[in-house]
Amino acid sequence: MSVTVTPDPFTLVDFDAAAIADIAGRVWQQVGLPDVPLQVEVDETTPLGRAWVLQADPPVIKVESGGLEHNHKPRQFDPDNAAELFGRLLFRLKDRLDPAFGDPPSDDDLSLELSAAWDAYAMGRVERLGYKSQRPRRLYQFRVRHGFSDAADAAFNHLWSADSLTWADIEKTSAEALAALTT
Amino acid sequence: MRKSFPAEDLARDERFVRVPLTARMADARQVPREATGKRRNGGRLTPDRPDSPEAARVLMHGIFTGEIQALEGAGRTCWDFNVENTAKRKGADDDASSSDAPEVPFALKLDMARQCWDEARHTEISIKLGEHMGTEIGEFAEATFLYEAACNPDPVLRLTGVNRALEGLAIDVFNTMREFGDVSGDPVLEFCEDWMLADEVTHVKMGSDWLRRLTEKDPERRERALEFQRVVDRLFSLGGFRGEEEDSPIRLARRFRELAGFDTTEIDELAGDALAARQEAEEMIRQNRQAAAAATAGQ
Amino acid sequence: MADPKRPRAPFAPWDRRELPGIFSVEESARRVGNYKWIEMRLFEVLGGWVATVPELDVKMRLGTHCYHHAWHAELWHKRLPELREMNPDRLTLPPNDELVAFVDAMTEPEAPELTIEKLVGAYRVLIPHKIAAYTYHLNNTSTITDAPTIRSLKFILQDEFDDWRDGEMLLQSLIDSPEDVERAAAHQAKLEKLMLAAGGIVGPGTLGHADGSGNHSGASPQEATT
Repeated sequence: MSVTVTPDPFTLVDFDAAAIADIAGRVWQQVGLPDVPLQVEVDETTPLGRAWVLQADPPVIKVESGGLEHNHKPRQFDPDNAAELFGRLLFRLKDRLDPAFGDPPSDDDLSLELSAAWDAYAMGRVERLGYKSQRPRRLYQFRVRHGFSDAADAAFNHLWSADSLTWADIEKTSAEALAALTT
Repeated sequence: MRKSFPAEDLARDERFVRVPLTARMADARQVPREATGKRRNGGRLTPDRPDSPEAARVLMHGIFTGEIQALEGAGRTCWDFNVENTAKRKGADDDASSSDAPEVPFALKLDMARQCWDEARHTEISIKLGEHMGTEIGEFAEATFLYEAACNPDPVLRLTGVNRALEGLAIDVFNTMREFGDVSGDPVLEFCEDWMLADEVTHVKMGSDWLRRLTEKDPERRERALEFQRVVDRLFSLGGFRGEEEDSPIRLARRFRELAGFDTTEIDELAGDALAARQEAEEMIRQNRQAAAAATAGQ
Repeated sequence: MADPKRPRAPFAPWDRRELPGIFSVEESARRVGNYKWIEMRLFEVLGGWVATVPELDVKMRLGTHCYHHAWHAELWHKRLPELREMNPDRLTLPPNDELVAFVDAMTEPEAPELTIEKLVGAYRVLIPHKIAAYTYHLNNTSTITDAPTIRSLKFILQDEFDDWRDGEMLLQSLIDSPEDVERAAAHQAKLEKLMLAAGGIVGPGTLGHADGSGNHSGASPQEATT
């Protein structure tokens, strides 16, 4: 499958478009997505690290350069961080493309709680692919959105260990965790 | 052991990676200041920021490395200076660097030893908070500019730089984290940051008290110390990262600074310096981008 | 109900404290001045070493212990005027040049790979010698006339034992080869010889004299209290 990365070349960071494409393509195949062209747009003007699915069909991913950056080497590409980021996004993309999954809102319209819940579901699968997943980090992100409670931790564990959830399942799990905050 | 210990020699295990401030300053990228729909990142650390858990984690790791450096700085102050009226140490007479070391009151060293303990405790707390937030030791790079402020050979300037400027920054940062813990419902973060905040107020008071006592009869030295503090404060504004603007990730903690002994004039000056630092940083980024564009055009 | 006016013995039957102690006011002040001096040297070097050790757990422990010994120095600083020494700095000194040589040797290691040497100096040589000297003082001074010193000694000894244990456990966790054992032993032997030459942290007589006397003048305990 082909992966197009822009910009090419980079001017504000020391990234190599081909290296990014290589990792994105490898993770794409491991996630089990169909053989269609992928476009990756990197915003190198900001050091922040947000990444989201801009559109599902044809697939376009938008990444702020900090998301691909090495934690220890400013403006340098980190393949491990990149693989983790692409794994998370591509599992979400795979969910979107699955008719049985349901009809989630666009990434821009997702609530922070549901985005965190969906990330937990995606990252558990990334971990099972053998990539760095930093489960305690993801648990903290989930807790910030759903509260620091036993119910939230149980919801996170359920999402992390699951393999075939629907969007409705994710919504329900998130809502159950949030409900514990008001009781 | 030397009576002065440079930042480049700070001992670390292999997990720690140091990045000089100059490497960060060469960055031509910029955090966007304008909100763009629901997905604005950057700005004040509040839970409604999409990246707030990550931003809190990165900040916490920065606090952790900062606490290590504060601990090291306080420890060095215990060693680097001699105590006034100390009996001759014949073994050290041949060591010119030792006998030439500036002298400080015994009580000042006691305060620094107390600060050493406090910073050791803060390091412990920061490690535990890092675990709580899912951060690994050394996950992010370390910058040593905090310790470098603690290297001044004049004890008055050192205390002013560390206990008023650096600890003042700590007050701002801990207050931000405490508020974040409160609003995000994180009882552990809020609890720990509040305890550390209490200690920092003590440290700033130590700096204020010793500045006054040691320069009572030397107004010129006092002025130099306050000027050094302003330089350090400006550096610690980190290009607008700390300020009073709505989108400053770290807000000046006016109330706690007042508790610690800063007066309104000082705080206002700091706010002004922080804004100036931000404007300078934005200009530097603009220049870096021009340089990058020129380099690309030349290829 | 007991009659409040009925006379009671001023010392309860379980209060076995005695008047005699082998240290005069002057001897106590001399020792306390030496104690303050060595506590200062110790807290200074522990603080200085923090930046030089790469091991994070050691770094933090040194910072905590630095305060313990600074606090001990402060306790001794406050005790001196109570022992008729109105200028505490006058008696804040080493007992002899040999102890200065010991301190110089103990504080000399700086390189990051010398954590074992640093800890050996503090926790296998100096602190055990302090524990010995403090215990000797505690057991021999008057439990009535020198109660303030005893109170400080008890607090200080609690810290010393805790710090000794911390340091020893850190050392045992760091020493993981026969070469490390030899390094530690060699440095300990070197420092012990210097301490021997000094006669202890208050000089000769730190733990009493061979003839069983403990005070500086060599008088018996009863003579010392009259």
